[in-house]
Amino acid sequence: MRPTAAGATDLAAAPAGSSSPSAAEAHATPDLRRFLVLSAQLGLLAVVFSLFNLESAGFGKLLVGVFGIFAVHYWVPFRFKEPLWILASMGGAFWVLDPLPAALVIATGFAFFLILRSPVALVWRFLAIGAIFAMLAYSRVFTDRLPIPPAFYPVFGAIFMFRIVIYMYDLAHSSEPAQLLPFLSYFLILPNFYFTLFPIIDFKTMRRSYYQRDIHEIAQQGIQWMMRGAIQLILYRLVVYFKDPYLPDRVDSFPKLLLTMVLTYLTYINVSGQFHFIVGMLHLFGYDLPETNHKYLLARSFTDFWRRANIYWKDFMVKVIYFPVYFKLRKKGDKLAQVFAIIAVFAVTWALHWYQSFWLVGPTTMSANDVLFYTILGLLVLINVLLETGRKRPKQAPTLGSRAIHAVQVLGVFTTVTILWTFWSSPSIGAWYYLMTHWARSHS
Amino acid sequence: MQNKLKSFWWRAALTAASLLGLAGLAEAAAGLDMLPHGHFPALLISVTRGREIMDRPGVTGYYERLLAKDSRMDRNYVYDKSFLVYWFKPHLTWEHDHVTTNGFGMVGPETTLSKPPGVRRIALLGASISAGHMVQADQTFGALLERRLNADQPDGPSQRFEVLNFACIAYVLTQELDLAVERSVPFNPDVYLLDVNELATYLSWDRHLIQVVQQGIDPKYDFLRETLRQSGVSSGDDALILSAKLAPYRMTVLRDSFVKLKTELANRHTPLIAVLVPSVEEGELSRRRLEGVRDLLTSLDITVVDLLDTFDGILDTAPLAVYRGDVHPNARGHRMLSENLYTKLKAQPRAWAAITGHDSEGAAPAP
Repeated sequence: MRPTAAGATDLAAAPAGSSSPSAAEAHATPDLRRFLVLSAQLGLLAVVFSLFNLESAGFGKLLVGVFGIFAVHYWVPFRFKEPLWILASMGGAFWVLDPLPAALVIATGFAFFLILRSPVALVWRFLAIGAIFAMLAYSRVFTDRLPIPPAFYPVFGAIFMFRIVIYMYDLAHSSEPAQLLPFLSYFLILPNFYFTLFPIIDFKTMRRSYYQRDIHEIAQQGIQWMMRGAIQLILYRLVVYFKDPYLPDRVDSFPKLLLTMVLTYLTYINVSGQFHFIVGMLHLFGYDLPETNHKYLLARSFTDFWRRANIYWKDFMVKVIYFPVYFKLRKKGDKLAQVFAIIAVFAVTWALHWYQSFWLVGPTTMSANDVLFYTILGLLVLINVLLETGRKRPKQAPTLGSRAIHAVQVLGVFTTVTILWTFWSSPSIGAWYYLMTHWARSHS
Repeated sequence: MQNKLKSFWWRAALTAASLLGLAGLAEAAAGLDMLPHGHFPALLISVTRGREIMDRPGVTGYYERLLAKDSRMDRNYVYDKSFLVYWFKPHLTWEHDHVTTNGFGMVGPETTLSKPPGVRRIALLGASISAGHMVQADQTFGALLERRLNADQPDGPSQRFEVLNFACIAYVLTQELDLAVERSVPFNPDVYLLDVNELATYLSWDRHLIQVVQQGIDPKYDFLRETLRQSGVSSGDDALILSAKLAPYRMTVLRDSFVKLKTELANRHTPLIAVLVPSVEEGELSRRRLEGVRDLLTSLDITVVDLLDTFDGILDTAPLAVYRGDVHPNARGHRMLSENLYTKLKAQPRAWAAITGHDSEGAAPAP
């Protein structure tokens, strides 16, 4: 977690960062044979979704929309690709949502853009955005005060609640003003009108990765991730099925408790499955985004777990919290700066999870379990970071002994995270205590 | 080899093969079920293909709360801060859910408060399945039972049967108890059919108590007052906390509700039949969720008619549901429930005597 210097961001319209516009355009060169192979796989994916009934009515529409847009988007000239994707996304919003919430979300997006593009000082622009958020938050609490349909808030939150922070952060560090196309392609993307739990894509990464490789490689990767997402969503049903018999009062033996705890942790595959699917969809349109979750069940340390599960969240925190705090405090000592940066990251992570609940499901109380979960996880990561700091491991060929140690480490992290996850998933500390001890009392 | 595996064509071929494998797996359930040890894998495949379990995954974690669905149907109910909390509006025509009610707010045709001569009244207490969610009132298993009894005339042509459907969407056991103790009494039923389903006894068993606490309604029955006191619930708790506090008392409340129901009806010399009603779900979920309830009812000497086998052997239950992914039976599902109910009622002398008012020898049954 040792930081490197954060660079300035290019907010200009040219849709490629590391890859030049001409290189990006070359990466978009169509090839009929490869297109047909990609389309055939998408067709198979649709069949799998249909056979496993993974799609609800809204999801079916989204799937048809995305695959249909891909078939057109693939063939249009490069300069029209992103405008087409944006227009199709905005049109698609009216297809997957009711007209009023769809129109309001899009209108809010344009209002945000006009504010951020305006010539007034940055601080005033940010305050104006904050004021709109505050007004909508007020309206979310007192739902009858403003004529806004309830369906608006989760979609608004899903699109803007986190990514606007990243966008404003990058705007503050950029020499360029806000540009319309990148802005719209960052926020108003079709899958986000359906999926309210959405990976926090980094603006800079999204721009830099646009057609950074050959589109067929990017799209193929996306289809694989969509398939992985589908498999995880299918497995999630089995997790729920096997967990179903265990209401807390039915967890009356230790093996049942262990099973319940492991299955509770495994419910996260629903989130990782959705995230794989979402990012896979974006790959079809040239956004060569990184993986959202990476073999988190095999993490060998707590920092490793933090790096592997919900990677986009980790990147978001590192960018807007860890680096700023670290660089601010670095002069007072490297270790001290790291400690405070990690504490800040976990405090903000907790607060933002509450903030996310507020936008997606409405006003909610703060749970002691949430506070303790992030406190303990933060402490474990902190201890891990401090232990790892300055320790250099020479690269060695794995031996039987090192493999055994690795296995023990993985098992240790898995066990600890399972306990923590069960705690986090319990409605209260009392409920967790009841779950953990009911089996013992059943036998006494 | 490494480069070959990374090439576009190889990756596409592997992905396509995997997708074909998944599609084949989805179709393999029926074939597997025929094999000697194939039932369990076939059942698991059917679970992965069903969407019903996703409606109420019964997981209370952070992400599940974010992804939970919320539905409101307020305008179809009367709310009056009574113990029942809500019931169907009288003369309701709820087109979306095909629910129509009579002047008393009961699903089905108009009826009278006083029992006509020669009529034997069967009170049906239950939730959405009994109420016929998204099924016409005359196609519910209760209405079909009434028709069958009147067609077969087990007590001769002079006696008619009337099934009064007191069921209401999302009712649970404590509300069904109150229907028996209060609301149904003026209609003077001769026998009660209690729809015991997974909603009333499993994930949502506490739904009514949560509403009672949150709305500051009197719990009315002493055993409920005591349970709420012991659990330490308060009206300031949110639903999740209330549910967690009530969780240890599930079986106690179920038992006490059954006991109270049985005692009240016994005092009125009115027989009670508990009917175990399955939802339309893959993976034999209803049977798993109602585990223990049958034993509880039997231990309390309550007559049980078990319909949990109604949809057995059907791996893809979607054609029996009101729509794919929903747990409510459609008209065909209700027909199957009704046929199974009628057959099992006839096969159980005690239950049949309670329904018809006479045992197999024609004598009136003991209360």
